Amino acid sequence: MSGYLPWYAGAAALALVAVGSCIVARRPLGVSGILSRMVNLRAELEADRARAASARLSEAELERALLAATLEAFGPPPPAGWAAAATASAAPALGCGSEVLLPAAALPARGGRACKGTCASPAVRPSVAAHALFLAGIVVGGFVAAVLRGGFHLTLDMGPDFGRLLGTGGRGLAFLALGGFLAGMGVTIAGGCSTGHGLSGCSRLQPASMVATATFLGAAMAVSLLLAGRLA
Amino acid sequence: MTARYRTHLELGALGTLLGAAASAAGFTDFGQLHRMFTLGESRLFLTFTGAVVLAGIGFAIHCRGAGMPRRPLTRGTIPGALLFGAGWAIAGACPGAVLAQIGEGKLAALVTLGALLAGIAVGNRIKGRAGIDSGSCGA
Repeated sequence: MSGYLPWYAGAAALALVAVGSCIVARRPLGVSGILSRMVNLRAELEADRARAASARLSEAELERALLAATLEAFGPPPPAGWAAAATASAAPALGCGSEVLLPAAALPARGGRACKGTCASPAVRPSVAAHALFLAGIVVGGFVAAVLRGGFHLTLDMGPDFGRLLGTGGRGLAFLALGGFLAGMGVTIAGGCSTGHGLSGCSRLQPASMVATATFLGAAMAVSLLLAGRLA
Repeated sequence: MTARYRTHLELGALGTLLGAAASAAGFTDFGQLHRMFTLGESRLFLTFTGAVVLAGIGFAIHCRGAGMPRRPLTRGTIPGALLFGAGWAIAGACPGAVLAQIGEGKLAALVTLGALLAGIAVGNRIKGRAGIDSGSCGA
């Protein structure tokens, strides 16, 4: 008796989060990248402020700036019909999925829905506060799931298997610290974790993510078999 | 409500769903993970691969891959993944699951989280020194 969801229900819920996150945040989900923002909190807050300042540019200001830049580059416009001609020639270049860097305010607020393929413009990134809420949500979700299966209680124990294989008390905590440190260093150097590379990367058939996922699953299997005494 | 706060709310809800799904599927349980890694049980492995396939279908319908960032293979991809795999097997937690473990009341996971954040800080330094630009994990 595990009391856990059947595989298809868990799979559906995780897939929903991965795709939903892309629709909401317009970039693929990756928990380690979000945690990394919290580690570099000061720099991230400064970047947020810079983005917010550029977003405060009103649309009219933006149009004026674009017009001025256009005039500077191409000289004064012809007197009639120039706007229509300019729009027609610019439209294909600014098509779906183009990498034009505009301030967040200049992009449609719900671009993921308005234009398929604009999931990840580098100019649009959820604020640190929004990502902090995402992380807090994970904690709340763990709490809700534990309550629903009647298993919420504060404990220092990581379960009978952990105690049997790695030890309890200080020894167990030392292994948790070692494992956590290796995992944190690893996801940063690899540029992704089980969600970033595994879930969001593999599902988009990214070669680097498939290499990373095969590698970390292989390493986890080797270490687990070692712990279980089935290797060596 | 402005779009800005809508994103806050939606990300909070998605985080809650992720934490609940990870916990309810068993990704926060060392024993379940250990049995997946030692091929003792297939349920969690099926959950993971099933999620990848379903998300792939979702991305194919919604985004068609256009404009989505590529994930470059760097010098850090394989060594980093080796370290992460080892850490995942030892601590029984990936970066998302450790937060859900804290929510479940597993106080020892606070140690895992502290070490994970320290590992991220050290990893960033190593990446900077080695000149590896793998981007971040999609955030």
